[in-house]
Amino acid sequence: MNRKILVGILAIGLVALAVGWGTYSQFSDTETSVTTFSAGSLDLTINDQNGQNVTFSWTNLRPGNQPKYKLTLKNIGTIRGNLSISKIVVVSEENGLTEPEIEANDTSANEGELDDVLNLRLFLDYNGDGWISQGDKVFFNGLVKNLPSTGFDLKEPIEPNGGVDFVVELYDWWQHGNVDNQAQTHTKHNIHIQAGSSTIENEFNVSAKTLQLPILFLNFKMGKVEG
Amino acid sequence: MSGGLKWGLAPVKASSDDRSPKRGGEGRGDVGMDKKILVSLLIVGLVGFALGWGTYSQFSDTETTTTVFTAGSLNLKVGDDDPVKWKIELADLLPGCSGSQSVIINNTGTINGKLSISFSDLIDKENGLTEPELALNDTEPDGELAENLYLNITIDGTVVYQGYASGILSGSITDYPLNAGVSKTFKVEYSIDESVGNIIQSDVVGFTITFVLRQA
Amino acid sequence: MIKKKVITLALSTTLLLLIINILASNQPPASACTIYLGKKVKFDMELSPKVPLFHPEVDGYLYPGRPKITKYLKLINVGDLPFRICRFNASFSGDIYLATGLQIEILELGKGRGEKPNLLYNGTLIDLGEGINVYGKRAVPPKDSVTLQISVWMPATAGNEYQGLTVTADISITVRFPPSHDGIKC
Repeated sequence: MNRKILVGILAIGLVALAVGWGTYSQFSDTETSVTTFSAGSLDLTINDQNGQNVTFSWTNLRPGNQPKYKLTLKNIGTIRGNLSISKIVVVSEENGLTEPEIEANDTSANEGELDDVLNLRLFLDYNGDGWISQGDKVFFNGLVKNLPSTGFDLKEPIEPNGGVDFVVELYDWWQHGNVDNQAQTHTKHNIHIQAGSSTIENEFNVSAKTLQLPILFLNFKMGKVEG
Repeated sequence: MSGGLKWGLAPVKASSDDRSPKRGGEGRGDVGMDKKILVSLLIVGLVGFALGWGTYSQFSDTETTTTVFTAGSLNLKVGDDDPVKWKIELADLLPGCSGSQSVIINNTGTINGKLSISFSDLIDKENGLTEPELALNDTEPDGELAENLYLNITIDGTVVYQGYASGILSGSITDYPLNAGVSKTFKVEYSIDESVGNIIQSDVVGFTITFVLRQA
Repeated sequence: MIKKKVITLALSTTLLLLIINILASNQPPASACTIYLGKKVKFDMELSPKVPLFHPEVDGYLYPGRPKITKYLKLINVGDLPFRICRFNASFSGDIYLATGLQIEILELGKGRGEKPNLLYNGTLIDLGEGINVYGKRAVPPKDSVTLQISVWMPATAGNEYQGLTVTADISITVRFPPSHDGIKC
């Protein structure tokens, strides 16, 4: 009988302990806060495209013509970027020699002469009218052969969703040297414009009084704004 | 709880004559008269006693003491609002950036507490791939920001977590004393190394901070 | 003739006693006294201290698991008749809910050194509001006193719902005469 009572008491004690253990509480207060970090982005598009081929052609050029090509550069990222041209590669190709060329003592079949005579203007067209006007920024006006291979450190700020027009213009090309006979042949000329890791190829087709345009690589780079 | 007369009656019975002023107006005289008075007194006593027997009651007295009790409180206030509205939401982070965000943590209660801070629900999202990320062969779904975002999280200078956001779930502090009325500064310092490249573009890192104040 | 006078006397005295009885029964219980044929007998108890027994300004704040707060209340017999403790009661104001989270223990301390205290009540503070009858161990004679040891605490199981609450409990102690054990409640 005593043992039964003892066991009973022990059982009650254990239950009480278990109940008490689980329901132990104290005053407390809890607060939670959610943290978010987002990295920005910088993404340059050329003519609203990433890594596409864009072709243009100039035909039947005559002295006095000012053919130009406009590229629309945009920043579709979330932070402001600095636009520069980081690299320029000029490759000039001869596509055989025409008779007048041979007569003019052009002996090289593979090297073109256009880069010696071709005058280019490169400018940023702020007002977007395609011409150099007040406020536009001309950053090169000279012979193709004088284009710096390291490009131009324009540091042109482009806001997110902002952009700028970049224009390549043949200007004064007819006034430099002996164009007519040395630089003849109906050829295809390509201008490669490379932005970042993508390549946009532009085909240039000149016939008749043809001008051999050299191959022009313009490497655009957009980096973050310093400071 | 009425005043009673039970006790009063016994002395009536036992008291001597000089204790009872209410006597009849009769004068003293012959023995027959005394006997009659005695008998009447006896009758009075008996009747009175009979009356008292039925109405037994007792004396009692009640006095009151006033007691006032106030329970303490433990109230954790993070920032200006309770419940907390403060949060860190930083956008457009770049390689080479750094900064910090702080908030005041306050025990606005009346009893001393112990603070614990822990982290949970780590989010490490790619959040879409920009063209520069694609060029680096970046892929969904995991972002790269968590392993490149360096954090130094402290409370009044004591380190809660130090390291990249990718390891934040291991960070915590427990039983940090926060007495009643005391405030401490909770600070999150962050940075992304200059050498980190396009791989983190548009990536998102998130986590939840839980503050618990318990009684000390 | 004399018989008539005796009967008249008896009836008038009886009537007088009846009136006195009625008058006495209408008296407030706080300080019952009686006049019987010339002698005044007082039944009265006083508490000490008279200031509030528990107050946050003195005792601080209650929280779960905090050690008991113990105070002593003396019941002094300032009357002519002995008394015995017979009842506790309480009335509340303020955050009455707090009374459900507090425990109270009332011990009647013994006279001598070795005398064990007598547990009169151990329970939730709110339950005192119902009033409980107790049987005090001591019959306290006039000019003497008995001391109650009163402890209050918040059990460790109390939750956040009690935070910041304040309750005032007026605890009433009733003593009665006669002191002998006769099973009669207050």
